[in-house]
Amino acid sequence: MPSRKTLVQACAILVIAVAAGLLRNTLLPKGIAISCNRPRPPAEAPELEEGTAILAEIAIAPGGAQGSAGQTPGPCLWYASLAQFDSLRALEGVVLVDARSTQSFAKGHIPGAISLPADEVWEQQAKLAELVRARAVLVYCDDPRCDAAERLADQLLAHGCQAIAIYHAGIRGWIEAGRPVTRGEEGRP
Amino acid sequence: MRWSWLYHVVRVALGAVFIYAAVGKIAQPAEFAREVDNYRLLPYVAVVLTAVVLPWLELLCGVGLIVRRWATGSALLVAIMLAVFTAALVSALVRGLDISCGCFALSGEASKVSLVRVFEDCVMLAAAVWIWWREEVRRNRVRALTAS
Repeated sequence: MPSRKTLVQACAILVIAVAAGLLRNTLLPKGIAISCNRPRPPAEAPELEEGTAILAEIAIAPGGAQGSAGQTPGPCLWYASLAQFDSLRALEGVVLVDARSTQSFAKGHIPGAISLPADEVWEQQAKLAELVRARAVLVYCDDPRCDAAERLADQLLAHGCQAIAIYHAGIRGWIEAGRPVTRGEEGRP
Repeated sequence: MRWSWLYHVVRVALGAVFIYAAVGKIAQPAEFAREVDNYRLLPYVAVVLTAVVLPWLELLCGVGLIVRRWATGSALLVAIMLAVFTAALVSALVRGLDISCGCFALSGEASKVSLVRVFEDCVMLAAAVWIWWREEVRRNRVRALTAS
């Protein structure tokens, strides 16, 4: 058992850490809002209304987002609801990408998805080139709490993708909506 | 005292590891909060408080171990933290979560949740318990000498 002096020291360190952490979080601009509600989606990614407008433009643009330069709003990233996700999937030239690991992909993925783990983009240049040519890219990962889709989307934007929609609910939301999943690696190009 | 040199090496090394781990998290609290949240163990308010406080706790304990001030308290806290980290890692592995562990470099491929990370934490946990025990023995010896 720890001695009384050890416990006093530990408590003192804990109190100083709490004070320093809260003070730093309050004073510096990078601080996080202490709240019970999880902030989602991030402010830089529009949802629903703006996304619907972008979706409509992509849907009518014959050459895709890149082919209609000057008419489309430029590179964009937004969060798609299940209905938007379904509409986008039905369009020609839209690629569905699973940003999780290849092992997770093999265990179950949305039918028609290709696997591009967010941490393996540099090793998959051919697949990346294919995505840059796509009219729009749909990305998903596990659920709203995972960050693989956002990380992959950031990299795709950096490589020149023009329109990226993140299906925020992920594979978990897909399954909860009663949709089927495909097992194995047959969806990979 | 036997193994004295090894004890000091382990104590300073463990302190340095904790300082190194803390610096990146203090600089990027939002990213660290996201990585804590990825474990899906805590409500959001607890995630934020953990992201705000834990790096400072790691920093203070790391400094305490290196300068050997409040070393028993620091070692005890480090041992508790490592036990909690190990439990969280095992929990993530059991649930098949493909997430970065949030141990050192944030969002890095090298810091993915894996058995290697669990092993590292177990080794550091053993080191922290050893340091705590040695410091308690040392303090009791000093107290006995001053009493006599």
